[in-house]
Amino acid sequence: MAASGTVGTDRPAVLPQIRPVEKRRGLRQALRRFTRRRVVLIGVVLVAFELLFAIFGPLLIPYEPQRQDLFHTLAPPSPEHLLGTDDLGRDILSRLAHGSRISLTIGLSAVFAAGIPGVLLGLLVGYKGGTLDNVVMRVTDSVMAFPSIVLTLTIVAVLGQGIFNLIIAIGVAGWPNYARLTRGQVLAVREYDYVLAVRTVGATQTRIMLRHVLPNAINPAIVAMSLGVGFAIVAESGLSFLGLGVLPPTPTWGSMIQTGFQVLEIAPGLVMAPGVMIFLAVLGFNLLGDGLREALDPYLK
Amino acid sequence: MGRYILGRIFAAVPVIFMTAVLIFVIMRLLPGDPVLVIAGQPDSALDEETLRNLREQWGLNEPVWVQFAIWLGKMLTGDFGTSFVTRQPVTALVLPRLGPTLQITMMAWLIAITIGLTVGVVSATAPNSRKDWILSLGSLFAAAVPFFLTASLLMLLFALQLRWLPASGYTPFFDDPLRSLRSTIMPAITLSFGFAAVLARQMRSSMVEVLEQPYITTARSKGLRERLTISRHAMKNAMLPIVTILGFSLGNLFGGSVITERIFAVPGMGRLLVDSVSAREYAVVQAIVFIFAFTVVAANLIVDVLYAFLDPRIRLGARGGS
Repeated sequence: MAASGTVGTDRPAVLPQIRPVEKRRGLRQALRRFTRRRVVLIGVVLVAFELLFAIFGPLLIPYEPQRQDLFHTLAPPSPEHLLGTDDLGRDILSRLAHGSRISLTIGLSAVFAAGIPGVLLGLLVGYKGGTLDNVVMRVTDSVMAFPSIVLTLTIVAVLGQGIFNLIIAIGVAGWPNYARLTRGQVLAVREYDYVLAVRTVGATQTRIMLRHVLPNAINPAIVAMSLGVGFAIVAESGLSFLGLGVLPPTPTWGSMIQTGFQVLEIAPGLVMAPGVMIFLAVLGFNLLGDGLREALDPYLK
Repeated sequence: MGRYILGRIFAAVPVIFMTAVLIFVIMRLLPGDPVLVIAGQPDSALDEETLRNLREQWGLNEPVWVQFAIWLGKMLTGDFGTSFVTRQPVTALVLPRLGPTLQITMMAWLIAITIGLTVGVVSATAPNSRKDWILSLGSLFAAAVPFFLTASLLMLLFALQLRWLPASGYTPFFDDPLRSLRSTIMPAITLSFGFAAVLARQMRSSMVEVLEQPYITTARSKGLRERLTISRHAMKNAMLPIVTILGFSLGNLFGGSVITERIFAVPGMGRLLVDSVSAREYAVVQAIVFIFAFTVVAANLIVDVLYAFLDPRIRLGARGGS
């Protein structure tokens, strides 16, 4: 409590006192566990770098990602073009920045597209049980039997290409994981006495599930979502690389790599640059996930 | 034991059934007349006679659930229909593509197991040492490296710089084993990286846990050499969680083969799948998707059965299966 005096000098002292003591300590402990391992901080830095590059990169780089310069194709890195130019003379750094926006948007959106329905369904069937639970679990089993990229590209074949359809396709392949994780937690949480207590005072089932069970059952799904961003980014780049994702000339990491492999020997940077961006993004979100796991569930290793 | 295995088989049947339902539904969701979709020609160039024959052949005049039953029956007996681009049976198109994919995934599997288990055990024998730290960091990195980066580095170094290996293409194993290995080693390594990392992490944590067990202390205190303690006593129990991953991994490897086969121009199933999606050859698409899913379920079933042999607690029914 020695800290509260010093904090009070530059911040209204009332703020932290509004929260119940238990919760504040829990949060602070979680934060401490989160930052305990230095690699987790590296994860935070990597993710921050990726996001900042995607947000501000396109504003700072003076080249249009679509503008071709056929007199300067496949130019090596130079002061004008820091990463050189591609096969159509387009600035690679500029395309990388714009591509990061699209790839990260797809990665993050796809995780929510998979996570939100997955968690809610897991919550519902875990709480209600019975036949519905059985059926949904068999469905998750069979969706998970498909290699996820295979399922994703089959769905894209049905829906058609494009950013939005890609998000949906990756989401459809990803939801069972969240449903299973949440269901598993809910099965344990619904047996707690406090849930019985809420039920005896007459709370509706929806309210019990959303307000009382979900907060205690959602942690594994949150961890999985952080790891899921990496999966989604890999899926997007894979599909765009195969020519089944985002349509050219819109730059994404995957579509840049597709061009890159055709000119690998002359301009290896065209594969390497987006490849490194994918690597750093996946590594960052994986480390973040590890940190979250330790912060949210200290007993689970 | 017998009851356990039978139980597992019965649990796998509905999963296979559901995967078939899903594929059927996805294929029926494709816009347009199913016949034209199956024929891969959305804006029909087919005459009425051919269409009627096709409807007959695919049982499209029957109620939906009868259609499904006929379709599933055909799939399970290996009849995947006819390609309308090449007019060949789909089976004839898919079969020659099995070899390359199986060879690459099996090689990747073996490479990953060798590297992953070695790294995991070495890490676990000296937890939190500098060696452990470096190896753990290595697996963290390997888990995040995209296929593209590994593949391009391998290609640049071994194919374009040193010229030791062909950059792309595939030689069938029984034509020339050595050349075949040379043509598949880079795709296999590319594919194995992420899986090796997963295995290393799992092996480390599982081995660290086992090494804390009292029976290991007993083995050590009776003077058994550390190497033997690990290989004879610890390994068996530490392997149990690994076996589960080995089954699940097959799906990931199949998925990865879609990308690596494209990078290295290997004429495998993954390559055929992508080409078929682009060419709207949906009969081929559904065949490949079904084969992949079926294989994954079968692999998991084998793992479950294997598990029963390895773990007497399951065999004797002390731990109820879920």
